[in-house]
Amino acid sequence: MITAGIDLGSTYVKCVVLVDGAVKGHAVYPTGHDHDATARIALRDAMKMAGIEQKDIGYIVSTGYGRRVTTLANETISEISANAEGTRFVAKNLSVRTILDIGGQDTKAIALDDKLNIDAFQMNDKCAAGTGRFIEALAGVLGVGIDDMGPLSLKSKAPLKITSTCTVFARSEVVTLIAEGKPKEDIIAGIHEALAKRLAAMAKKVGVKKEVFFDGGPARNVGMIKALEAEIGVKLVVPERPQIVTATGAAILAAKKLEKSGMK
Amino acid sequence: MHRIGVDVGALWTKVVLMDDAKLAGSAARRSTMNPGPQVKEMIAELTKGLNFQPSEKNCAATGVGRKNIQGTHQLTDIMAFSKGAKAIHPASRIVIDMGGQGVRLIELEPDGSMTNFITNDKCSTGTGCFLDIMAAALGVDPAMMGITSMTAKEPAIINTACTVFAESEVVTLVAKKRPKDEIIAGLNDMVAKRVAAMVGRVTTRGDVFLAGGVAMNIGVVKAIERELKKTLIVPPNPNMVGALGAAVSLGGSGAVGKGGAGKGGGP
Repeated sequence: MITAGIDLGSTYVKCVVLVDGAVKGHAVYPTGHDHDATARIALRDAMKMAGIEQKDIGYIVSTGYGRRVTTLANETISEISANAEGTRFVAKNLSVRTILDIGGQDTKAIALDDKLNIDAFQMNDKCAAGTGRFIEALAGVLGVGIDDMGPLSLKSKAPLKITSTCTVFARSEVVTLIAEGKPKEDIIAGIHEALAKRLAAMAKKVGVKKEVFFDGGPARNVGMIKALEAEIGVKLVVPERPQIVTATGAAILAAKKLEKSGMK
Repeated sequence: MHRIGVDVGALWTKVVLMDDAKLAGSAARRSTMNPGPQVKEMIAELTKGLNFQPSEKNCAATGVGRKNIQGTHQLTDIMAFSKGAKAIHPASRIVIDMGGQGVRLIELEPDGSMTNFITNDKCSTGTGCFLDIMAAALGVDPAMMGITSMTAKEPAIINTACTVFAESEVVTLVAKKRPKDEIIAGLNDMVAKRVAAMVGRVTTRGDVFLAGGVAMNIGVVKAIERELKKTLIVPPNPNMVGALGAAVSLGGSGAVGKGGAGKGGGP
């Protein structure tokens, strides 16, 4: 049985091809202006990796901010459900009860009960301060690539405090710190700490029990992981490919749908 | 007697020169990382030929960067804007300062004393900074934003309040060829709704005085008036109200332009 999940995020489009319960193909593309076109490219690449063709796919589920834009999907699902499903699959044998999923323009904190059903969730899509955009905007000011932020921050011995909540004001603050000749690594570590504070507050609102799962693009950032662990006070479970957890969940939900309908 | 009022804001630094109760000169420059020397220079230019020696007696400073202006009388923004509004329009009961990095609302008693204030300086939405960023995204001169919006037939709906997200929305609207005047009108409406919500939180009623650089934007002013269903009092140089209030705080004048009313002000 072959299914696909497409997660059309505000910043990246992620696609997963699932073959008999295993992720065989995946692709990540910057969203750009045309969600549908990007989704097609991502699906093409994921299919190529899995060595299949589109006619082989039994069912496609889309999720994420732009899920209704693509005509590829047979069905759409909320990213909360897709993410929880993806987490249950990726962290199968763990006792994860809290999920922190940071996106480019929104952040979700999800609490699972002991049956791994969604118990509560919090979402921030109103303010950039608690999302991936915060790091992205400040990385831009520093002239540091988003993938270099984590490794650089680990060199910091004395993280600087970023006092502004607002991303725009934090940008001015970083400009000032640069002008004052403050070390880049200390500024970056401070940026991670500022974001970690926001996210930890969200996680605590839904409740931190047992293990905490951390996914979404910023979970690729080692500095972010370290700052969050310090803030929440527990070690985080970070999957190998944190960006595709939600797309994986969509592909699994597609498979469940197929199974239920009695098709192959 | 000549007095100087300085307002070192987040984006702009303003200086006014008063000759008794009369406004004798003013200047505004982009704020720098080093406000001390800049303000010194601005004062020197305004007081050229007056043999003016700045001191705590004749020079007062307010604004976020006021501590850098040494040897002057210092007062908070709230105090400065209360005094400035009262001096220009004695019947002011609500003073709204729309600055570069914050929006404040001050409630005044009929005698001009302050009873309450609300400050939002945590979020950039609706501030001068917000409008500057949108102007840049639209490729419009920030000073032209107000005028440009006046021709809009139907304001665009801006869904997100966050400056960062709204900027993306504006970029998308531009890509979709939405006329710029309609996008700006939509932004003005959003800013106005936030200001109106602030007014809705207080019980004081009466004349609403609008100050701060954003009040120079006619589109924002009109949008707030529509939201509040009320005509606002907007002085000719709303960006100078803080600096003027600082100068007035030094004492020796009442209503501006109506002659001195003696020490302490008031009738």
